[in-house]
Amino acid sequence: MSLTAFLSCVDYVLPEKKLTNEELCAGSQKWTPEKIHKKTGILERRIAAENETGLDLGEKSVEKLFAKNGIDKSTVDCLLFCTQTPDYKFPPNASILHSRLGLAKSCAAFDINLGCSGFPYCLWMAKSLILGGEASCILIVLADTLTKCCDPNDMVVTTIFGDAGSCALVTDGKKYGKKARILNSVVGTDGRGYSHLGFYSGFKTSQCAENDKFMKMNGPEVFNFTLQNVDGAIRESIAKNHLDISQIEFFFVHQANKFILDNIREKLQVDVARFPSNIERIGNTSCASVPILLGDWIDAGLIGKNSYSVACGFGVGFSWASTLLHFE
Amino acid sequence: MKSTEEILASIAGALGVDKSLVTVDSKYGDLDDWDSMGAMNLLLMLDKKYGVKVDMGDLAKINTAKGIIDMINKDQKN
Repeated sequence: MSLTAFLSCVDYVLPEKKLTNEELCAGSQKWTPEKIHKKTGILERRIAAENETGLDLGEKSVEKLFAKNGIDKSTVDCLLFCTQTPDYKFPPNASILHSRLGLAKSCAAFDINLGCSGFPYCLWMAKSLILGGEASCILIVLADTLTKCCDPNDMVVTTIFGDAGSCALVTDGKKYGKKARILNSVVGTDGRGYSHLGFYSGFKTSQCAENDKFMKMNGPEVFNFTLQNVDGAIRESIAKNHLDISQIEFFFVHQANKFILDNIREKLQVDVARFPSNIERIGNTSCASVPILLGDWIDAGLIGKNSYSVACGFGVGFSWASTLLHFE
Repeated sequence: MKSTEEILASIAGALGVDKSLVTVDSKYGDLDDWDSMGAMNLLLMLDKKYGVKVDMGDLAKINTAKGIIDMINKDQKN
């Protein structure tokens, strides 16, 4: 009997503290709240507490998911934790969360070091494990606290990023709900982009400097990468599933910033109603971005039966992934 | 070949400035609006208006008006 992978449920948490454009601009002569909104599409973003990490946010999102959906933790046989802001260089967040949740010893647990492309990549990975018969109930956790990596003097990054924790359950459909069937994906990498977006502190000590304690982003290079790759990847993933763009109800695309999102939407020639966005209130939340958007649309009952949606992420690496979901 | 005047007007349009402010000698940083956001608007203009795709690693070539003119005309020739 052929196996199928399903997205069973998805949820998220946001930190309590809000950081508004007004607060960001206080004391700045060059920046105004209106300028930030115009450049990014963002009015406010959430900031993790000083001692709160992505692991904490991820854990809270899982507790919420388990409680709302009656998930028995003993049935989880794989935990994937997608993050670029782990508590430690090692051990992985997944190990620590495994302990906190009390998951079975037979459960695999490891981190995936990806950012904004993380969610569709995790769906692709989880589906592969299920179709390979290696797992049946996979907990994906996606959480980052990128605001802790932002140079407060670099308004280009400080205005964009927000913190969040999210999670999803991917299963073989036998035990839990079958919210959406995970169809085929397109994944890709252009490793030439590694130097244009990152946090360059690690074990390559000869190149670590005092100023490598913040993330760096070359905005024009990142934009150029999205311009040349993202809409094409989305189209390719739709075609790979023998569908037409007109059959796609919603495009859940990583909420990078409004400029990039508008450009992708225009290149796809898709109207605004089919291109959900929540960036105005929470900013760019890295790998949690797409699951938060998807969770909101699912909870609001906005996704039709027997409909298709795209989940697409792109970013650090450079990397990108686009997955089709069939809501049955 | 596109005229220099037309391309300079396109650059000014992309940056959101009066075309009198953009000359062949203009470059990134000369104008307040030619910052990283301006550079992204120039990439968009090159792609949408002229069908020019800038390779990763060639972005420095579009940091000057002359570089943009050369890039457009080289692409049109091909």
